[in-house]
Amino acid sequence: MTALLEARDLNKAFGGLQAVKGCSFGVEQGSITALIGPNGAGKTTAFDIISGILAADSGRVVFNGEDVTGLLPHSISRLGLSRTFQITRGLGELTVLENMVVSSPSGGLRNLLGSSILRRERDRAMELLRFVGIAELASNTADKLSYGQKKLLEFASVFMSDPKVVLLDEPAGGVNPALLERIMDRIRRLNEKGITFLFIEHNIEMVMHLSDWVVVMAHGEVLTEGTPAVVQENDMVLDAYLGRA
Amino acid sequence: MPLLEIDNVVAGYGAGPDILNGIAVHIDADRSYCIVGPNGAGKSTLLKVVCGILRPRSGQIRLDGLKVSGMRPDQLLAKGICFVPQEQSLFSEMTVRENLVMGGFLIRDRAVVADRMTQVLELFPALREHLGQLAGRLSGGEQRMVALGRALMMDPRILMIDEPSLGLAPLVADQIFSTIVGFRQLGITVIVVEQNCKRGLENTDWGIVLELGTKRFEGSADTILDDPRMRELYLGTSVRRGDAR
Repeated sequence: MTALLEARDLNKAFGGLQAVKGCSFGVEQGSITALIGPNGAGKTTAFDIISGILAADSGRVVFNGEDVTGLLPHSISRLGLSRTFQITRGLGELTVLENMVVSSPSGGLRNLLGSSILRRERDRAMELLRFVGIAELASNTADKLSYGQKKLLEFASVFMSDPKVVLLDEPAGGVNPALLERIMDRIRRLNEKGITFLFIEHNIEMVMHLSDWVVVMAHGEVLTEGTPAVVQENDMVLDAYLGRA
Repeated sequence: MPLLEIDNVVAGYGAGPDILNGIAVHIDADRSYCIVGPNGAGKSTLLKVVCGILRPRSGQIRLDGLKVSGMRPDQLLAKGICFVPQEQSLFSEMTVRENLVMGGFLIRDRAVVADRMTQVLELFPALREHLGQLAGRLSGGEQRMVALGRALMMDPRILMIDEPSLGLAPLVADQIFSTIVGFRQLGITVIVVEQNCKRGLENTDWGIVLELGTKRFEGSADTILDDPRMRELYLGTSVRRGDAR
């Protein structure tokens, strides 16, 4: 097994707060890897660095054998790494379909060619919307969607760029149990097709039942990592959550 | 009769899902409480419902046996229910003195306001020298003191504090908590929500553990951390090795 994505000794401080401190971990090709830890552990900051939204103070990000440290998000996305955000940010006045197409990497080219949506993109978008179960909403504006539907839209849209690895920031945040089941099922199915996942999640049942590897962060550092069963039995992890560490 | 009864309360935000799912909690006047539970358990939401910022979708809240659910925050404040939110809530462009005076905005009698201010400054002597400074210029710990002091201006019966230690250095967090412990002498029933379970439970009498919007269990604060249910709650129900997928 090789790591498709690697964080190497990442450091990031905000003022006096060292949010991420010597953080190193790898995401194996074909895995579903969870990044967990108590609030303030630095998980989202690590995500932001990996996806190019934040510049690290030091450290490297290696993706698919290539050093992508310091690249801008769209460049990283073009190499095959996409992400969602904790807070769903749909473009409210656009339709669901338009939101999907905006996420596609040929967006810039399309702007040059005019406003017509390329047929191939449209087909791909509809296929993904069917896959997550909101195809019938394609022509609705995004601001009419329920919270759960917005989550599904954002989830679907990251696959428009045909990513190799997808970073999900709290895919289950605020969704009901039925929707959670659907999201977990879709992640599994996409994973079987070869997409690698790294996700941050507080729903611990989802973490333990979906992932095959769990990286635990606390106080900006990687506390431990292992299979769900091993992490679950680790007293250090429990102590970190309860503030005993 | 309990001081405060929360009966089968269901609540959520906007059109979003229910965060509180029929929660039932009784609060006695002569105890201090710490509410703990993993992310998304509904801890902060519970405080917001009790103080009237969020209206329950169903269920009832009673103070001294009388229904108070559905009342506005200012009406509940007048009845002695006060809330100190987690987020920055001070008027940062106003002085410390002005912030404290604002805490007593419901009090008509200026002499009473002046008396309360004197009492607050006895509790937080460190604020004396900052009275004329803009609140936004103070350190995180000092700002937390102003927020607590401002809450005390109404001489509350129930003081609910969301994450008193959030973002504070450990030593400062300990100072804040030792002040909060002292509120008992003022006859105030304190309810804190605290991410750091250990610190919160060490400084209160009774722990209430929430999970997915309901009460999982409760007990004497010193028994909570070692309860085996905490592991399950924070690290998930046991997954056997190789059984994770």
